[in-house]
Amino acid sequence: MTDKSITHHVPHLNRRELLRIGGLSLVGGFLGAFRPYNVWAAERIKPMATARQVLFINIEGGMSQVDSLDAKEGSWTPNYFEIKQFGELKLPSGIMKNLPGVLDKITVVRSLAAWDAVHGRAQYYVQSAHPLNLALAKEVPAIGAVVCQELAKERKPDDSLPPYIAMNMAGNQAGLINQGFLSAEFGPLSLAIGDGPPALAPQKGMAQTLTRRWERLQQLDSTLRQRQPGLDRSFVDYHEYYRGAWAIMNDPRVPKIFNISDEDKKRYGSSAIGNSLVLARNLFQADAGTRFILASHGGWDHHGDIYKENSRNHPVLIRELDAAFASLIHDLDATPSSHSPGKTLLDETLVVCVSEFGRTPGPISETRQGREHFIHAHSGMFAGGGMKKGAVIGKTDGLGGTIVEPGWAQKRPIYMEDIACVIYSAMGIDWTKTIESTPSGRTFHYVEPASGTKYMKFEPVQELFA
Amino acid sequence: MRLHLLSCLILALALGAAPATQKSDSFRDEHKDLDARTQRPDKQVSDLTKSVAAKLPHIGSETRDLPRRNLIDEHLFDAMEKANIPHASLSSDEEFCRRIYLDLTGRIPTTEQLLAFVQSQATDKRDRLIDELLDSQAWVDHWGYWYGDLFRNCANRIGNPATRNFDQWFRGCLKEDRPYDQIVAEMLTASAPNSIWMPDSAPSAFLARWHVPGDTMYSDRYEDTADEVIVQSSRLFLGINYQCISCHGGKGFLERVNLDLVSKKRSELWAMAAFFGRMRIRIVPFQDRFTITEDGTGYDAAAPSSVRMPRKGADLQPTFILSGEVGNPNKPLRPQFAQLLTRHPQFARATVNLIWKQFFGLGIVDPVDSFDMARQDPAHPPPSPWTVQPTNPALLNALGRDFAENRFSLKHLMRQMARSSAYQLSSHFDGEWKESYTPYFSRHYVRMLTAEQLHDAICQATLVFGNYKHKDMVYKTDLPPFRFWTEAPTPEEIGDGEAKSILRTFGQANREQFDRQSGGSILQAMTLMNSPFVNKRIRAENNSRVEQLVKSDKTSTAIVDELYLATLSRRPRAQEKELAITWLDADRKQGAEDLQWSLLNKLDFIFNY
Repeated sequence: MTDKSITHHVPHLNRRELLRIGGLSLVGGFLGAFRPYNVWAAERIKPMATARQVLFINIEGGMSQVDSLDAKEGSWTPNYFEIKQFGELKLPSGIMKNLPGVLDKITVVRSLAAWDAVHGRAQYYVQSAHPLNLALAKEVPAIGAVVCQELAKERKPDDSLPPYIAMNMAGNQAGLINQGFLSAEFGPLSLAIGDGPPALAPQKGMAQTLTRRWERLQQLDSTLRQRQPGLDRSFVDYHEYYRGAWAIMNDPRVPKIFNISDEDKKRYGSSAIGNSLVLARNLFQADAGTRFILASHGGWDHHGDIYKENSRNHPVLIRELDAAFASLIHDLDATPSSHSPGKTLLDETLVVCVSEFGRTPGPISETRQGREHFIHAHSGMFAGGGMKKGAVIGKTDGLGGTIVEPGWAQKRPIYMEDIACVIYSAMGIDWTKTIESTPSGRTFHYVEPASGTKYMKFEPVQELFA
Repeated sequence: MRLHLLSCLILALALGAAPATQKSDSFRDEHKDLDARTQRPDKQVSDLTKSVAAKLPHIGSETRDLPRRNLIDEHLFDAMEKANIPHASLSSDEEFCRRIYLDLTGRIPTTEQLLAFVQSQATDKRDRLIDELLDSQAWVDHWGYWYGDLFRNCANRIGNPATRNFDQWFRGCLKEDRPYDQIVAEMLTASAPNSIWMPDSAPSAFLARWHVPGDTMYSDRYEDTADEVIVQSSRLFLGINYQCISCHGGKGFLERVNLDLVSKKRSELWAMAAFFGRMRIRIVPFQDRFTITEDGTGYDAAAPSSVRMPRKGADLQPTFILSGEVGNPNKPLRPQFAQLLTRHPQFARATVNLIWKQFFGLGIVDPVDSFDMARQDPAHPPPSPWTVQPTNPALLNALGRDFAENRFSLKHLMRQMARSSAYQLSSHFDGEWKESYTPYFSRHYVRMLTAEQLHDAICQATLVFGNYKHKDMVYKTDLPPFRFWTEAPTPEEIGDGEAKSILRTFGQANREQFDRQSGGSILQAMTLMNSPFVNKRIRAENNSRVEQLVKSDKTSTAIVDELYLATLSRRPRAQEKELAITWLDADRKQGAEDLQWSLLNKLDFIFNY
């Protein structure tokens, strides 16, 4: 590549671009070598492109793997757990009554590991697959934003709902990572789901009032609400948000999407995560523009009284997740695809369900009767969107603290970066891509070739794909 | 905070691998496409200002001939003249009044405050208002909260008492206008020998905030913590991001990013961290408390790391990276570091640049933590094609000197900025605006209100306040409720679900891991149009302004005037007024509610212009 080719795609030079070119020129002949896609190009990256949309269930706080998907029995295990063998898996069947019914549709992974034992930084990994760097945090986009940016060309004119929706992420310890330096249209619409869905459509009786007010607001602003010429297309005019909001509030599909029937509510476990997953199902069924959903299930940080049956402890949350997840898989699997004849909605929806880390295995702590953060082994679930059905990947030792069989080609634990590779590959996206002209000047890698503490080549877990 | 490696490994890999060029042109084209979408700070403010200002009714005054009021004006208007760049007219009184209230106190003016200012005939009324606001409690609240965000003062792992006391101490410093160099030195040298909170350990929460745990969340990694303190204090107080060289040398990695850092080695970061090598921050397990003592043995450059690449060891002396000055090992090290840091001109330059961005919307160096020390001096310009980094280096130096000569007074610094004609330019620009004008600050750049400003502005405009309850932290007795969000010591201390929801939607920082998020969203528009927080405030109930007005005997005209003044800090234009009066005349209550709703949903309300 020569300087000519660089300047060619920079039509008007300003200060920052000059700097960029300057930097490139300094490294002269090595220029090509800086680009990772050149490094790995010989491998011919071939994304699997098996999924159309993603549902990422974020088990927030650190789920105890040894009391759930990788159950280990000990003197500390409560009797009501009723730990039983299901093929290769051991599950606490007393608190996971529904999951066994969908095991033939999902893959359980027991060889996950995390880089960081602090919630905030670990949750940052979960959302972005990058280590947190405060100096760059403003510009690093979330996985969901990168995916939606890649899918921008597929957006249909009647897609009124935003491509990326996040549920119950507002209180996340890493915050809800947004679009970073990408265009704001790829940022998440952040919804709070409690007893029911948020009222995006006006409440009964309010529709008329809001319509009148909207019209009056347009009159008041008259021509001022028109688009400005000469603005960069990455720039989003604030009135575009109003237009987007108004389109959603008036989309006839929206009241149906954001309605949760009593029966659904019950089947999904009558919980915030249950309601979130009903909503996720509705959103994908309606196909109104949403392609990436990040649904959070919070409260898993069980340092104390982990087995105590109080309001938000492990058995309670497991029951919530179990009912919600199993019903979701069942419903997606029972919905025919509207894009590929003969396929189901599950076939085209990649479902990922993971925690930022696990919890210390073995006996629970004497002082507080709980488990602490643990980064060396935890478990998660993958389903649909090209994933294997009825498989189990990875195996831990007797206590559940050491991975004895990673269960995939790399023969090491599976990290969040590898999961991001799986998501990108399933969505047909080359996970080795980079973006060069970031505000900081540092190259953004979809997936970096290093974690915080190790150089590592991350790649999709091919063993997950059917 | 782990290092963001980005292009780091690539060179190493690439040198060993054949530079394959098999990727298709279409791949490359796609990348150009992506590259074009990324946003630079100067372009962002230019586009935003152009868009918003065009949507506001004509603002700005007729005054185009502007006095040069201080060194800021000398430098900025000189630069504009030299480059033959036109500037905007002076802001109108209404425009200035709203702007200065928001920038200095975080609140919009009340109708009384606005009218008193606009109707005043005093020739120095702008200066007087600036002084009055700088001496107000609202200034302390706004900037105390702002600094709490900057320093990420939050309770996680260090506990509520420490957080609250840091907040009280810092607000006290602002109120007394204590020199900023002393404030920073106290933070960097603070001790907390006793884990039970002691009054004189209040500044220690700043350091404890950067504690790095080891294998478990309640263990301590002293070298990692020292690295973190250096990386964060350099970022906050010098505007330099040493994060990259905290894992690896700059060579081969930062050629496109930062000229100065290319030659810097990881051992130089360690040598600076060695000033904190004897410091021991210990977290008390399960208690959200900590101690800070100075009883360690020194920085071990071979110590294991839980957040960075493994250390390889090195012979180190505590050395300040910017000057090469070496610390005396026989004396306490942290005070020496504080001295070296605050006496270096870059401390003042970075601080004025940081505050500049809050007043002018764009840093003289932007991003404010991206200083490249090899590109600061126009007399010794960097090798081509690099350019000098500050858009106006002479201004940055002069303002930094002025700050230092005036005992590092933040009030003085803000007064200088607020009084300048440059700050008081209108955001409206006659004629064609060119993006290339942006570095000259020849118009005022608009910004969205912050989450807290928006929350407070909605409450104040509608007169429905939150009255947030809170308790004394020792005696657990009720304290007078807060009305304004910035009175709270942290984002988590007060509020209800409705308030928290709107604050998060508008990008409030949590101070734990993420900064304030700027920019708009669909959800923001939905929230302003149809959320419980807004709905209950625009209705003629809860003794809201609308209810008071509807029940009063005021005319439709008077109601429209007051709603405009209270919400948008300006009088309605004739057309606006005429239209709104027809709504009220048709149905007084409905018309007033609709108008209040419409005004909260207008760009002039959502933006600081």
